[in-house]
Amino acid sequence: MTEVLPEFLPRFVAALGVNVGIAAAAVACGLLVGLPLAAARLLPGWAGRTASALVALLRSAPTFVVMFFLLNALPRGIALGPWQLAMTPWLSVVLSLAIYATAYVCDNALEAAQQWRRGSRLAAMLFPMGLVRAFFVMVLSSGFGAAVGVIEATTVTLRQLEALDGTGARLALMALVVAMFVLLFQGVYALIERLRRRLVARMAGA
Amino acid sequence: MPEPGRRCGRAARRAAAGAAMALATLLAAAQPRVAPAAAGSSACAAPADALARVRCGGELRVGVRNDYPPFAARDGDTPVGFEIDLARALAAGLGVRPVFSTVTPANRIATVGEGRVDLVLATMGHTVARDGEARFVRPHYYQSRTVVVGDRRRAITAMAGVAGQTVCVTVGNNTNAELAERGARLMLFANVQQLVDQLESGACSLAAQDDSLFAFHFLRPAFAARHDVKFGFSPLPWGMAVRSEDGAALAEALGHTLRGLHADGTLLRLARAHGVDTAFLEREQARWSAPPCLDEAALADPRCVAAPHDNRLQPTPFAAEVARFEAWVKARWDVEMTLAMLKTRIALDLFLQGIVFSLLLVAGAVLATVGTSLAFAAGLGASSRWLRWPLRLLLMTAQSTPLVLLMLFAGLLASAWGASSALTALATAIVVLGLFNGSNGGQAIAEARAALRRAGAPAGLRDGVMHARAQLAAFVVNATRGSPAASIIGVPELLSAQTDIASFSAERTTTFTLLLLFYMAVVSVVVALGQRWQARLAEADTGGAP
Repeated sequence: MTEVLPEFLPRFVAALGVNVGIAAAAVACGLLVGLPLAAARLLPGWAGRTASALVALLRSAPTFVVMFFLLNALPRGIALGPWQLAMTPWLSVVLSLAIYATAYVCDNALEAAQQWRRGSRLAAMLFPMGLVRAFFVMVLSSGFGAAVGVIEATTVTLRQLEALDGTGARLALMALVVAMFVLLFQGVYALIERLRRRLVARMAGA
Repeated sequence: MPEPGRRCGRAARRAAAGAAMALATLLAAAQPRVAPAAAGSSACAAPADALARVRCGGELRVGVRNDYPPFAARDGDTPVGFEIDLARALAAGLGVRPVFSTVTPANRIATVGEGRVDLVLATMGHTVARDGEARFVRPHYYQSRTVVVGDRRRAITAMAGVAGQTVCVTVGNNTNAELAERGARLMLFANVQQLVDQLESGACSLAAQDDSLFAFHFLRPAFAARHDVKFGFSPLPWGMAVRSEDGAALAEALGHTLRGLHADGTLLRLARAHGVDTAFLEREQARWSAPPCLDEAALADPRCVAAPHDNRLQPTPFAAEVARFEAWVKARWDVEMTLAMLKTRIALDLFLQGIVFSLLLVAGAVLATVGTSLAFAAGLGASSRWLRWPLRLLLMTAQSTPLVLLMLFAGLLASAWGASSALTALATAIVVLGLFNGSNGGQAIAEARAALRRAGAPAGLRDGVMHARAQLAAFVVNATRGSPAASIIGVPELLSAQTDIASFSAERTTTFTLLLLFYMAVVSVVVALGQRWQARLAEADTGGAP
């Protein structure tokens, strides 16, 4: 198994960049749609109710199925004003995660806004922290792209596994990949937690 | 991607064209069967049928493709390829000149049916279904088969090897049904170019398509170095066709010429010159060079002429009613809807199985998430570090690994232990979904218990659940939402079933819309049940006070 690592590891790292790109695009879309939706939910009457219903609908859509739906049920080319959008596997993953991101941003921005109104600045300040954590969760979820042909970290791992002889070598490579994910993401989570504690301490001091 | 037609060896094409020209001259000189009607003669004032029209006009209008090397492509403005040279030889046999028009797979039958061409010779499989749409010239001039092509490092040699493997296919191929039945997980692509691109980029490691398509790609050294043909199945005879209404005599005349081209080895030489597979043509040459196929009546003899390929899927008993319902919806609301899953037996079986597996999967995932949450909550709060630390390690793994990768890891472990059935895959997926979500749910309960303990309140497992009920419900919903990912390890749930159905029915919009609605409904039900459960707990917590 070790003999494939010099070729595999650089490809894996490059593919992980694709996952990060997908998550970044999804979070950007989520902010773009989720923040106005959160603002709409603060409104009284039908506007607030409509926004709430829309977010409930978004929450009920399973990302994995939405990805297949976007790729297969929609026309391949979608005209958005002057732009012609081609529904590629990459875009279908981005948009399906963007639906999740929109619901997340909307729910948490609304909560932050309400906390801010109540005077709890700390709870409101934790919104960006939560968003960073959600971003990394989406980096992991972008592995769904392997099912529709996006070449990201899971796809690269899969192709390498298929090329290996013997279950032992495959399990060893899989364990290595899982270990890399654990080290990387636990490091990131620890960093986020540290920042959160520092923020809490600073706000408490203030 | 460079223009494929330009990659064909020009020298080979010139050699083939030269061979065809020489052959045409020979055939024109030797053609005794039907005396040509002189243009301007009384017979030509009102030609009786397609053959008379061709002879009177002095030209055979042939519909050919321009994008399928080495069979038919363009070299500048000039059509080139095996089928082009065959058309030239056939026209020469009739003593007329060929005039080429471009057709596509989508319009080729309509083009000949509407009389815009006399003959369509365009990589067309002769099937029972198409027999009713055009008159096919016998004998067949080529035979393709569906091949599974993949990375050379993959050791798959027979259909049995595709079970549980991801195979990339283009939508609308009936042979996809066979792959789905054998347990392959199909990844769909809209067209052949996408399929080849995905194969070359490494996104697909196996792809199934007609071998005539891959023939061109295997001429490219880079492609041939990385890929090979694993196995072939479902042979499909290729036929050229004329119009049903008035094409009988033309089909017969072309048939006589064609059998001569088989018998004297001309077709075989053309195939070799263009790099086309010759296995079928070698068999045909032997067949048409010996009794009983030497006889004039051989074109009607089943020992000489192969039957069309029957690729029709068995309809359900209520397929006609479904079609009427679709027409009614179209007429009533102007909505195009195709319920492919209800029209053929195989689709219906896949659909029903998909629903059952999806419901089992969701129910299992919900129970596993709750059970794992409780187990983790108890374990993470245990006094023994031998219990706490392994669970923390598992928790970290679940929090840091893509769900798909965890599924595949578990699937690999299961298959290493020799478990490879659909039920095993289902059980594996339930365990993974339970671990993935339940570990987080357990952490939430454990943290709630710790907070209660710090506050000096009762901190039993039940108290923890009571305080972390919203998070627990959220992770249960998350498990439901993530359940379709189980399709990646071969659980035949509804996503997997609908993908298979779309692969051979070519209908995707209704199929995937229904799939999305189904899963959204299931998630909504789980959300509603979760809310009801939380409300009950809240009621118990407050002792029934509002």
